[in-house]
Amino acid sequence: MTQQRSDEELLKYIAQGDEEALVTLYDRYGRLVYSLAYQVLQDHQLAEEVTQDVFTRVWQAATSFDPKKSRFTTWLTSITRNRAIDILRRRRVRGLTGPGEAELNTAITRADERLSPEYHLEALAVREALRQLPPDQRQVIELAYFNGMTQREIAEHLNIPLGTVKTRMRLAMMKLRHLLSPVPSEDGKRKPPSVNPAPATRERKPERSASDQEGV
Amino acid sequence: MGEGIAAKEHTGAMSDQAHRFAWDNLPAYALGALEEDERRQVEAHLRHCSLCQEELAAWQETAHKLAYAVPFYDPPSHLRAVIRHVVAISPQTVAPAAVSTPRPARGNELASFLQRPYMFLTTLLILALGLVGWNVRLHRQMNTLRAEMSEVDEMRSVIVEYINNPSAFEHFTLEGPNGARAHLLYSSATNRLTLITDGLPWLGEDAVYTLWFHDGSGQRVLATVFRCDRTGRAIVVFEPPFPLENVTEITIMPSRATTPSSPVLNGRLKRHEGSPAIFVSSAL
Ligand SMILES: [Zn+2]
Repeated sequence: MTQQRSDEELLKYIAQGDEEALVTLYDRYGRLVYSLAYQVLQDHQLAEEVTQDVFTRVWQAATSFDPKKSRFTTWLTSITRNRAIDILRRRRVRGLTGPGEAELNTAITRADERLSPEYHLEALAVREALRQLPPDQRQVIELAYFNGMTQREIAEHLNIPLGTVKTRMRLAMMKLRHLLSPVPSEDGKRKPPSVNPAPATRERKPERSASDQEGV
Repeated sequence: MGEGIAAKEHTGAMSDQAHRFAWDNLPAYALGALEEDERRQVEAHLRHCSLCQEELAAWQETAHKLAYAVPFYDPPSHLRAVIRHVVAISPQTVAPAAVSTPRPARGNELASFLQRPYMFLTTLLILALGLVGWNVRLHRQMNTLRAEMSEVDEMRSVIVEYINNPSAFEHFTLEGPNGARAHLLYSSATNRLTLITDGLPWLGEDAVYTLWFHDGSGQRVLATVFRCDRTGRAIVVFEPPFPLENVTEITIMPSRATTPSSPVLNGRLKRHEGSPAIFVSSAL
């Protein structure tokens, strides 16, 4: 029955000191947090530590979470990503750039029948969106998100001009935002983006044309 | 390019420029990819531009969806129990904006309780465990503590019972380097173990220790999680995860990998004929 509660409801219980609500939230998102931390750090023990820290943080800071400002999962993944990157920086270790092509293609099948349907759908949508990016754009955002590199560090790492990195990053983000933004449904509620969007009919934003050849 | 932004005046032109700069850099900001100085400029502007704040929220939502692209792994199965334990001993912060004070939950009461008489009590117990007989003064001090301790009945009852009848407990100790020490009191009547530590290395505010039982088949099972004060003292009551006679070895180690992750205390259980069993610590 607790399974039916929304994230926001669970957070309200957590803010009142309900430990079971936190465990329910862990059951729902522990795998996501752990997997993201592992992707960044490439180390199971560190991923475990990050996961423990993240859920302790959720427990401690549940009262300060404002659902009007962001989705819970955005908050959760941002805590996770930042914590993992902190450790990565301290250790000055660089892991992989991001999920490789093969992983994008196989991960969902090999992973989780146990994932909730929304989660599953979200994962499919994000992977599909990433696949639609030109490889050099995708590389830039993955170096930033999963490796914690700044634009300047990426430019040095790839040996390309800083302006090129900035342009690629911006284009990639615009495209992702476009592909992943929730489409309002008839009842006014947000629904997850469709996995195979019909490209021509979706919103505005011409971005493949002139703007795609990178600055500098 | 970009130099003009450095000026700090709040003229219309300047804040237009600052807005432009922030707006253009929000996607990179959401990805955490800006240089330190750029990041600070964006943040300075964000504080008073609701337009940019809203736009940032959208970019952040996009950026953090990247998390879903990673291959999924199952966390180790003991992690769920570790987290459950950790939150049970972690105080929650109250948001500054909170209007009503929520009733402090069990975890909170326990946590705030743990910060006061509990530590004094631990000190007493450590002292007491080193004594052969009980002295009256100690007994009296314990009595004055009873009132304060009414919240945590279990801990109180263990301690009171131990004071009154130490022979009802099996007492194990485990010693490590630099004065690190753990006592385990086991009551077969209640099937409860009380762990009392002293001199464990300080790990920092948020860090916790884990206690593991080994069953001789290569399996280790998380027995409990606890937090020490700066002198390495802690007390925790718990039910053993499996019968004590099957425990071949116990390990106490930090639960985090970034702090020293090797065992702080580790030892095998040895039982001696007719005398209390002891844990003999192995070399570390
Ligand atoms: Zn602005």
